[in-house]
Amino acid sequence: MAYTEEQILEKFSNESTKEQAFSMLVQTFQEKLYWHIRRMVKSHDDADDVLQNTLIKIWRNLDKFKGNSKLYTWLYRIATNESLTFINQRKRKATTAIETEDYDLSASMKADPYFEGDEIQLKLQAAIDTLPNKQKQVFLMRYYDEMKYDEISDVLDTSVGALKASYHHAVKKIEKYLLQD
Amino acid sequence: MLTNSNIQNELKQIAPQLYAILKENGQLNPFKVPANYFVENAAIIQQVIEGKEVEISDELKSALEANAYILPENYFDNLVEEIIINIKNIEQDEISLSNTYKSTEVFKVPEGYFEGLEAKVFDKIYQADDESFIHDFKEASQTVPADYFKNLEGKVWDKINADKGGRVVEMQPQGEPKQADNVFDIGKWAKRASAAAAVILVFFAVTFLFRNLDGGESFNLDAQLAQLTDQELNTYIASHAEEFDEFAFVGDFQLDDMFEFNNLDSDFIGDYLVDDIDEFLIEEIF
Repeated sequence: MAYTEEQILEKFSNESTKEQAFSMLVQTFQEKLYWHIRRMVKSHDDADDVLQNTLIKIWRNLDKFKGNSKLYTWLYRIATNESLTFINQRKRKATTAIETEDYDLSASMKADPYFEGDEIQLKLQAAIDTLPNKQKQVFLMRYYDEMKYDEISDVLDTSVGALKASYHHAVKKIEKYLLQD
Repeated sequence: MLTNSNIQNELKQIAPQLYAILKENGQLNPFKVPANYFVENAAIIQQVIEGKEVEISDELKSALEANAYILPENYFDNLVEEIIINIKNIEQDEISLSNTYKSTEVFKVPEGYFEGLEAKVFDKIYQADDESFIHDFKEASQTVPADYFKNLEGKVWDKINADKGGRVVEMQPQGEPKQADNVFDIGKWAKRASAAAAVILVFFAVTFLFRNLDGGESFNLDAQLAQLTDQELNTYIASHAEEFDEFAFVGDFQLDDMFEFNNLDSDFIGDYLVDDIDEFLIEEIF
């Protein structure tokens, strides 16, 4: 069941209904947050870890939400930051030169029981993974999450013009990657 | 399924080939989620924020409580002794290992190596194949920046003036060129000559005056003493008696009367040589 942002924030402001409000929030936004995280980290287990961390962080900081933006974009920002932190930590743990992001991605996704994509899907995911983090986020949020540019701007704290340029570059790179032999 | 037509059209404009690929393949979500994941996830998160313990099923509880690990008999009874023995063995190994390293010199040095090292190094320096190194070294050690000496004096004066805290004031009025020291300046030499002449004149004047202080008498000390009478000598000696020793004061006497040889016995006279007496008299009186 989905609740409106106003309902959630109203119940959260009341100490007696705080937990109920959080439950409403999780039910409303957890899938969106999950897929946003999953497309970045690829693996379900990793996405589960990041999502847990994201939701706990939301619980601890929801009272600091000032209402300057939509609740949804505020939640997305936390999820994005947690995903990037996780990805950077994973990169630092790589100990050999061959453990590049692409190498890990292809092998791990093939072995992932929760990935049912064909060769084109694998190549598409590999193409997306070649993008810089900012361009990757813009592409995922724009194409898969179907977010508006001003919503993405709230999440990434970047101007709409810069986002359009990033999306343009991202799309061109993915196209080039898919068309190469 | 992606439904936003605006976003699809945008992609079609930017990258038509990608649009076609994604339309055919990309719209399907390749990522799968375990069954009931979202339901269970919400419950777990709720338990976490409420501070509740995670609920464990009875089956899991019984499995966890069952101990599947087997231990050797009397394992814990013998454990302490075994640990002590292991520690002693380790320590013994460390001691023997360190002794081995101490007693055995692993690295060898050729005989006379250090004695001849200095000479070898200097040979290499002097017999360097690359003469340019020596040349560069010499050149570098003798290189002086351009205009160094030209600017040196100015730099030194700047430092001196900086230390003094003052500024240099020209002795000559501004505008007039400084005059060089003319060696052939007659006026300057005349001044010097007159000064020297004055000094010499003063010297001679002093000398002349000093010589003639006693009214024209000769400055010769011996000549003056020879002119003294016996009475004058006796008076002087009497007034300066303390400056002589016990042999000095003799009162009013004459040299010829100092000894009455006739009154002296022969033993007394014999004790003295004539030279001794004369010497005594001269020393004590004069």
